[in-house]
Amino acid sequence: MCIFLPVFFLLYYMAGPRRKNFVLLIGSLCFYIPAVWEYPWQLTLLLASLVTDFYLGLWIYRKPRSKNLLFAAGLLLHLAVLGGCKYALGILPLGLSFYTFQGISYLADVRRRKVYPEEDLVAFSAYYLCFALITSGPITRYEQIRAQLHKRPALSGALGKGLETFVIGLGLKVLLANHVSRIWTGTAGIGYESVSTALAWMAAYAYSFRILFDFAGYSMMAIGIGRMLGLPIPQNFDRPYLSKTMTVFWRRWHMTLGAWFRDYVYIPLGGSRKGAFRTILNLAVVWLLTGIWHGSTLNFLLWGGLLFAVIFLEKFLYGRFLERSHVLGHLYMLLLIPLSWSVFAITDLTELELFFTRLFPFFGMGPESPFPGDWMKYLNLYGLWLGLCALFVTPLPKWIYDRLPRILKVPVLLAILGLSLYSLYLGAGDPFLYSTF
Amino acid sequence: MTQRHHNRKNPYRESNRLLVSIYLLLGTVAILLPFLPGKAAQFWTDPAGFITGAGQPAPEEEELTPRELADRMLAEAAAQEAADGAEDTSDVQGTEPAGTSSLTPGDAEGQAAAGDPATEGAGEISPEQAADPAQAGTGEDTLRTPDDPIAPEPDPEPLSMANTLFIGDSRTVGLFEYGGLTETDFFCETGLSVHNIYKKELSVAGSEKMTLEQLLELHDEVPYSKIYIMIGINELGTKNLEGNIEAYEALVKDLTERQFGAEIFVQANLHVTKARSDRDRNINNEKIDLYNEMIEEMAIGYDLHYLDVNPVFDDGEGNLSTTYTGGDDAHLRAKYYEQWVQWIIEQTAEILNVPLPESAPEDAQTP
Repeated sequence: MCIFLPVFFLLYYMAGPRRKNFVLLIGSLCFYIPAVWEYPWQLTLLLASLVTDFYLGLWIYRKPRSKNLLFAAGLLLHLAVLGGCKYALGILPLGLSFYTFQGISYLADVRRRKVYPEEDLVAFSAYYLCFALITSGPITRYEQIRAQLHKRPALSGALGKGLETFVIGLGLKVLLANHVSRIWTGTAGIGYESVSTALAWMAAYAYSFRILFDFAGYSMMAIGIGRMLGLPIPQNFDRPYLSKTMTVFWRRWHMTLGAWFRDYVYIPLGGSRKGAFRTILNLAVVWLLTGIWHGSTLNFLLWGGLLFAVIFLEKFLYGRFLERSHVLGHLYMLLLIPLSWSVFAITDLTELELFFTRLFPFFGMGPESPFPGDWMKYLNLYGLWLGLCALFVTPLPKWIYDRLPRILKVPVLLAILGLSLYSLYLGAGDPFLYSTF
Repeated sequence: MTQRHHNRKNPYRESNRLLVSIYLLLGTVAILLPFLPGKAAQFWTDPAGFITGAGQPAPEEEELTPRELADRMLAEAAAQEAADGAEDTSDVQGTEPAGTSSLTPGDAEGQAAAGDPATEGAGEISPEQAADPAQAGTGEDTLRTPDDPIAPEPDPEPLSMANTLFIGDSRTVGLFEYGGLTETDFFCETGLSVHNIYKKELSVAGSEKMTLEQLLELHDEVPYSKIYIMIGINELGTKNLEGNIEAYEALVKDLTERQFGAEIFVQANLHVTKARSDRDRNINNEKIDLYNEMIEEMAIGYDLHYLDVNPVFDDGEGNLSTTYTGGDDAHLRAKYYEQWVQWIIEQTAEILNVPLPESAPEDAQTP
């Protein structure tokens, strides 16, 4: 990576306007190919998907009478591949969930006349294969970057801003997420039956921090690279843990996924405009699909269902009340966030049940932890990181950073970069959490 | 949309076609790659080897120095002998409770109350006898058969885990935290190895932090009766197994000299799961086994006891079974540490020829 990025950017910046897409295309292939070296068929799948979407897009546009048939064919192909690989075969080709959704959004937008199809396969490939997007998103729609794909804005300040975002994202992921994740993995390693209630809760919060900073950090890295490329990759996170309801949470967490489900599933099904019963049904569909998009094991279905139940209650019962509250909404989310992530995190249902008996030891189930000081040990080891994570959930660090004079920002960024690289060197590197989706 | 768009030719037609052909080529090659035979395939799977003319893709084994190779062969031969000899003694473990049947619970209580645990290990059984190398060369508990008339009378005092020291790395930390041994001292830490053990300052039984030297000094007058050591997994990253075993020997020598009369039990390193073993070049079961063999040989050389708990938790193929792990590929789930401790107690009791402690659940004698 350390060799790839500088070489790539050198070539990219030297290239003329049209060549930039070509360099991006080649660069993205150079990224993807080694990544799937053990399973080269994944490359074939990606290329086939790319070419299919490209020509389908053009045909849908040029043969308006067959557009529904063509769109349906494309949609079915995508879903068959995604479903087949992920759920039937249990294999997940790199980036499949993301480029499938991007592809479907492209075909849908072309069919709806929201955007002209791309005629230049080089440009389309640059978008489709873009190494910043392909691993774990953000799910970027073609119409969002179309203009810049054809004509880049002046890139003079882009490198600086982009690097800034990239480095901060890297720090979030490598420094915060990787370290605090050890609380969770340590707890899982001990076995939930032997873990004290305090440690179980600590682990649940640790996982919540981990998944936030891992994914938000990665998204920032992608956005930063996008900036450096001159492509406006959309925001994916907006301080989600400051939300007061689960409904709002999902408009601030993995925003591009939420928007995708809203625009391509919820609204086409009628959204909330067809009466209460239909709204509920549409919500259920969206949330169950969200659950299974994240994983093929039962716990994800349970998780999706849980989110649906919560959002349903918020929508029809107490949502507005929470939104208007000052503290209650936050307390409510302070409980719901780690609990919902626990269901998400544990794939075995027996283990999940075990974990919940540790979180809520009111029913006399499960033994006492043989090591009552276990949470203290973890607090000693990782308390600092937990504290830092809690701090970075708030807007305070950004507030401070924005007010720094430029001269001070550079050493801060360098420090983050240096620490991150050092941390990676020490072997704390984890695969991107969301790339398993 | 205008009529123009429908009829106008795609200006990118040429480049599109070119690119599609390139994709077709790439895609086909990618699909066919796994099926290419021989040298051509090697170009793709091991380009470095192909380019450097190394020929066959290098096997995943570490390079052995001649000394290591010789040691390995010796160890394999010894293990082969032991395997032949251990078959008859495997019954011993099964009938072990019978060996204590002569003792009634009343006796045990009476004696345990008066007994000083420190002398129990230094009793009738000397370390030399207990680890007789003439018997099957493994040093495992193959020392006594129920019918052996020369075996000394069992020491009536039951085994106690007080005045005992455990030294080790994260696995021993697990024994400490979840094993249920409340009277035992532990000098252990995650990451501990033979190379850093003397530099570590650790708290033992709630004390202030101290080094191993200081700990041993504290127990100079009244040495530990038993010392258990399990180290090795953390230094597997350093390629030089010989350097590791040398440091281990130095440690063991130091302990035998400074803790006179202590029974020293050297434990084989626990395996890791198959998944971990398959993907880790350094910490894999092949290397662990090799190192364990060297440790065993060293133990024989110094007349120490050697314990190998791996058969208890293995999956039948030489890997740590995932039944016993909770997602951590190198450590047991906490609840199994008690089982491990119980096994250690049983093994120790057998080796030292003493009855099991009163409270052992396996002791069928207690009503």
